[in-house]
Order: sequence, then C-alpha cells, then structure tokens
Amino acid sequence: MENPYQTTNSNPIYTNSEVFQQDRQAERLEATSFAQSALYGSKGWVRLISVLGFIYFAIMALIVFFTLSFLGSGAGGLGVMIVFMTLIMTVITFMLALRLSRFSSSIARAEVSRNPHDLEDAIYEQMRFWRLTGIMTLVVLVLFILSLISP
Amino acid sequence: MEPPINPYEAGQIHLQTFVDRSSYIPVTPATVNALLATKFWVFLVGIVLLVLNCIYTLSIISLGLDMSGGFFVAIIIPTIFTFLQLVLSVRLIQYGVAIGRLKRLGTSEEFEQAIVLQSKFWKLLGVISLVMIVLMVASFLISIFTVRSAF
Repeated sequence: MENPYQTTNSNPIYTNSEVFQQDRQAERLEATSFAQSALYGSKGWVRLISVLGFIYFAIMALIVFFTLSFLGSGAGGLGVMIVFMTLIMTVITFMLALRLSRFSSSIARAEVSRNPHDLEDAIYEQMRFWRLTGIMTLVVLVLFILSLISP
Repeated sequence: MEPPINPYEAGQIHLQTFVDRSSYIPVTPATVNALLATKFWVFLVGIVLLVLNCIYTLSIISLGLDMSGGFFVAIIIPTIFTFLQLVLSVRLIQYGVAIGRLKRLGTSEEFEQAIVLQSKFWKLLGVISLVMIVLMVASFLISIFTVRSAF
C-alpha cells in the first residue's frame, strides 16, 4: 500500500534531478523586491549628482578656456603646469559625471525591463565609478605624501 | 465543537512562510563579480574620507576656533558638515562590509543589504548636495543685499 505522507526522496514521482534543481533554485541569488526598490530609489539621487558633476565640469572647462586665452603664447612653465593639472581634473570630473549618468540610466532600464542584464549593467557602471574614484583618491594620496616628504 | 485540525491539509503548513518570488530578478554571476570588485575601492574611499575627517577635526581643535565669522559660521556649519562627512564615510565602509558578507555567505539577503546601503549613501550624498546648493544661493543673495545696502 502506498504511503501518501512519505518524504519526497523515496517517492517515485520525484526524481533526484528534480529535487536537485529545486534546491539549486532556492540557493540562487535573487534581487528581492526590497533590494530592487532600494536600487530604483537611488536612481534620482545618482542622476542629481551626475548633473551637478556636469555643471561643475562646464565651470571648470570655462576656467581652463579663459586661463588659456589670457596666458597666450607667453606662458611660463608654472602657468602651463597649473593649466595642465586643471585640464586633467576637468576631464576626470567629466568621466565621473558620465559614469554616474550611465549608472542612473542603467537603473532606469532595469526598472522598466526587469532584465538581469540591465541590473548587471547598473552594478558594473557603479563599479567603474568607484574604481575611478578610488584610483583618483590613491593618486591624490601619493601626491600629498610626496609633497610632505620633498623639501 | 471545533472540527479536528488536519496537519496534512494542503496549503496550511507553509501559508505563513510563502513568499511571492514572481517579482524577483535573478542576479547573474557577472553582477556579483562587479559588486565584489567594488569592495576594495569603496573601502579605500571610505577610510580615506574618515581619516581626512579626523585630521580636519583635530586640526580645528588644536589650532583653536576663529570666531570672527560668528558662532553659526565658526562652529555650527563646520560641525554639521563634519558630522555628515563622517556619516558618509561610515556608510561607504558599511557598504564594503556588506559586500564582504555577500562574498562569504552568498545569499540574497546579503545582496539586498549591500544594495540598501549603497542606496542610503546616494540619498545622503544627494541631500548634502542639495543643502550645499541652498546654502550657496542663500549666501550669494545675502552678499548681494549686503553690498546693495552699503551703497
């Protein structure tokens, strides 16, 4: 006589592979609805900061442009060095703002499509932003330490 | 008289633990890898921010307070911004710790925690940026009115 309360492992209806797949399904990483709403909630703030970054970039670009036009061809070594450093900072500001903008856009795409690859893009863009910020932090730190050491 | 409870009745036992997984998005391995790659940079930026904050606070304390700008300008505003910067750096470090936990445990809850912490960071940064813009506009307007009233 068949026991209806028997565990699934010995029940001939469930094969071992099905149980394995069910277990794997449970272990798989998922973005819960709470995690999704938190990510979608950060979209506006990231967009705001990226727009502020673009505004800051525009102001810095104007400063570089006017400084170059005032310096002209008779610029000394120090003047050129300062303009060059400002130019590098301007480019980095633009890149940071661009990455934040892409991060925000990827979040918006993920919100609409609910596609795992759009979520992947968002997290990847965020990683690129933090990597650039971290590299810049390291460079500034090294320059600061060098300025302390050098006479 | 109450009917006897049948513990084997379908749908009764797991009723309270049922979770609707239809809205969940699967997290791809590339997403997890991108998040794990963020950990080092987030930690670095968070710790550098924290150290800079400590150096700034110690230098203010050791050099003494310049009260020429008044109590509000000399004490209140720097204290608020130092505190906000401290919270920002702590949030970043917490985010890095959450990514580390995700690496160790690999559960959806840890992924959720990491995403929630990054969302809180962006929200706080956005609020600080907005407050700074409002303060800048206010100080600009005050300076214009002060100059106009002087003439």
